[in-house]
Amino acid sequence: MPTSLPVHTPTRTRTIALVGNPNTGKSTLFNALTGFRQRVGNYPGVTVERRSGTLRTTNPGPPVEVLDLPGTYSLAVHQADEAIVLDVLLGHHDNTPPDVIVCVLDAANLQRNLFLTTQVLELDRPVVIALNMYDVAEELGIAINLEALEQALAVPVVPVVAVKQVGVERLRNAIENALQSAVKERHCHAFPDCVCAELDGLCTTIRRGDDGPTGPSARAEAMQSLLTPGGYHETRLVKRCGLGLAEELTERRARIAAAGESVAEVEARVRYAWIDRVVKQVVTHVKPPRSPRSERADRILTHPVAGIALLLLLMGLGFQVIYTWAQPVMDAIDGTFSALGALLSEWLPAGPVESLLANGVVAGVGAVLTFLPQIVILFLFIAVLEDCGYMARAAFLLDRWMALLGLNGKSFIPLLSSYACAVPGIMATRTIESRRDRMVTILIAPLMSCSARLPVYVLLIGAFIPSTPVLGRLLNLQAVTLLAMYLVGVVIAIPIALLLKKTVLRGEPQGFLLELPTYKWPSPTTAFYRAYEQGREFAVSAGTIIFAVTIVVWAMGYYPHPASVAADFEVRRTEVRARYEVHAQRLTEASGHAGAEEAAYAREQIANDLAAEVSELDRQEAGEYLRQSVLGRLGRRIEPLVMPLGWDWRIGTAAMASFPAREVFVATMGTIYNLGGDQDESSTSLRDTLRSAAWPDGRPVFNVAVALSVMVFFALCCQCAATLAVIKRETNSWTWPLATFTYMTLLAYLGALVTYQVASRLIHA
Amino acid sequence: MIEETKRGKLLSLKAGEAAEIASIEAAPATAKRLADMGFVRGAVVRMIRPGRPCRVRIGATCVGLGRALQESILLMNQVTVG
Repeated sequence: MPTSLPVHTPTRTRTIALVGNPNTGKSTLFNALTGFRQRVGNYPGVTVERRSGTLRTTNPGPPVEVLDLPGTYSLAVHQADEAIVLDVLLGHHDNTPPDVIVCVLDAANLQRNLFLTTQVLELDRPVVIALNMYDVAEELGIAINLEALEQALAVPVVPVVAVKQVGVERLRNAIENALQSAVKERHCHAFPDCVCAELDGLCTTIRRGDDGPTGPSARAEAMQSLLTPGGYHETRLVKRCGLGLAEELTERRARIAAAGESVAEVEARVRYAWIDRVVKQVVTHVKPPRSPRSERADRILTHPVAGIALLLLLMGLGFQVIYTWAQPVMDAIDGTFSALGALLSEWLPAGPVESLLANGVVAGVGAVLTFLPQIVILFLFIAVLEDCGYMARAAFLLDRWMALLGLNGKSFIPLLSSYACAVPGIMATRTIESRRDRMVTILIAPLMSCSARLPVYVLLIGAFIPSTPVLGRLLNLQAVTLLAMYLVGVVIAIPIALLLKKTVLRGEPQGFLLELPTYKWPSPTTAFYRAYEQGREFAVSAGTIIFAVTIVVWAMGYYPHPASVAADFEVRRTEVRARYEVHAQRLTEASGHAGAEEAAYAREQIANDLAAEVSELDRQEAGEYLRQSVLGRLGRRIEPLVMPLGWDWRIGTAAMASFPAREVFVATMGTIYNLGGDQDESSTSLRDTLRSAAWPDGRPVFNVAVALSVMVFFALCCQCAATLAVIKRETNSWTWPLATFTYMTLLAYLGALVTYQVASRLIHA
Repeated sequence: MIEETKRGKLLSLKAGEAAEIASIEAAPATAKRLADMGFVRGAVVRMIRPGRPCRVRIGATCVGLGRALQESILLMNQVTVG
């Protein structure tokens, strides 16, 4: 292999990339190398987190960027989002390949970890090996001859214990040395002649076909294209070089197979044969190997019955903690923003500025921030479970059951989290490697009945569902209805998931293959970083979208705000005031006859009545504005569409206004029924008003069937800007949030239609 | 040569039994995934707990494998490991 000297221009920011198998403590090492100076983003076009930071160093000179690549077992990849590792290493992403590649290895599992390392070494870039969790290996009686390993790999090897910050300084020095020094000649794997010949031929074709990278990295890409049929690199190479290449690859593979080699296995066999020899030379077992502690713990923790019971208990406790810890903070945030809104309303003169600030901006920011406590606590919980190795066990335990949905064991926790709120739930799908499974999980997560639906349920159940006992005295009809609303989403999610798996997200089932890593103590810093990052990311990127949507809906509900309404109501208010003035005048004139006390009482009575009548007019005015607004007109326009659901235009308008967040429905119902916007689900006046609301012909608008229809609509719809914003961010495209909104709205409409049509015939016949 | 009688699938291993891998019969993508994780001809795989998915040990790695993958891993001579 040729020896090349890395060329550095001192003005350019140099990058180092961290690669390694999953569960090697790569992220912990990344945190140790960079500290707080991290940035999290997305690689363009794919759903993979791009974590980067600046290397903490005492050396002067230009800053060094550290890139934490996703954990992988091999450079051979099957899906676009796994391909990031090789793409970055080859320089497809940032235009230049990283200046130094740091391979993070689990010292207690050298053999398997070295497979990826041998692939990386062939790229002929400067490499430093970080032998992480060195203390665990020592404890297990694994002694590694570091000099011999350095010699065999021809790169520096540094033992580190990232959690305890041991060896990090040495690693940093090794990285800085590697930035300056030449690449030594490395071992060349002896692939069978038939493979080498086909690889050479393929490289020649590619060189002719395009002006992509040449040299060792091009050869590595060619190898992965040749030996991973149907993989991502093949697809991309064919896209670059034309369809002729697909045929050529098939022919070349056929020739390898004809020579008696297995295309899928040959790379692993050759590499592992060499690795076995190296490991035999450098590793000695000081203590006899014994059944690891993890295996003993797993006897209980992955037991099909006891394990699941423990998992459910743990989840129950976890969610209890999320609820109890997050609730006061959420209430505090909510309260603060409500108070701020009220203050602004008081301070500012009434008008568009006041309404925009109080009802648009402050309410919007508040709506975004109330999600934060849940997100942060849930991610602390998930990060701890993941870091200690339990998450893999949870996926292992639940795989069988989730397979019934066509999903993977790792979908369980995101779906369960979605019962609290779909936003952190969707963010938690990042642990699912299979893109298809992840997409299906994201698409059905908003169907889980989140806590924001509760106000709608509480209002309508309280107003229209009688509390008749069911099942003896055990339950009442109200509780049963609430339970039904919570179940309707899951019941619908099952066929949806199966349908998605059979249509848009179809693909070869991957088969369950999951490493169960050795249990270890979770690192508090890693958990903290994770929670902090997720919270910040949510507040910044999802926040802006939610905020924008809130403003738009506010504007639609506010404008055109015709002056004629104000004038009209001003006249009516003046009339009322005049009437009471006359009243008071008469009272004063007549007061000679009665006692002073009685007169004062009567005056007070009049003042109260006046205030009540004026505020009633204020509410009517607010209702009139909404009726005349863009939203209200739209609501009346779509009335024919919502009539089959048993709704009048007011329900339709409230449903549209609650697009940013379901809980807005209750407040909008309040405004639209002239009660003022500050209604909540337990206000008796709103219940009574809903009960007495009537169609123009005098029939009541609401009955049990209508209430059920509205609840089913809200159970199935995706009226949540936060969820849509998060789907947009996680999938990096507008297609998926639009698809989610469309399918869920259709589903909600159909669900409400069927509910109303069936219920009105059954109950009100 | 491997005797035909001693050939079996990973699926048929009982808890505590170990055997050498003979070959992997699966779609190329799946086979490559398994091979890259160390499931190569001659590697010793030990069944920790059978089931769907089962738990096996290969080298220093503990892996959970679904039923389909257990069927695709063909074994040769059983070995006894301490």
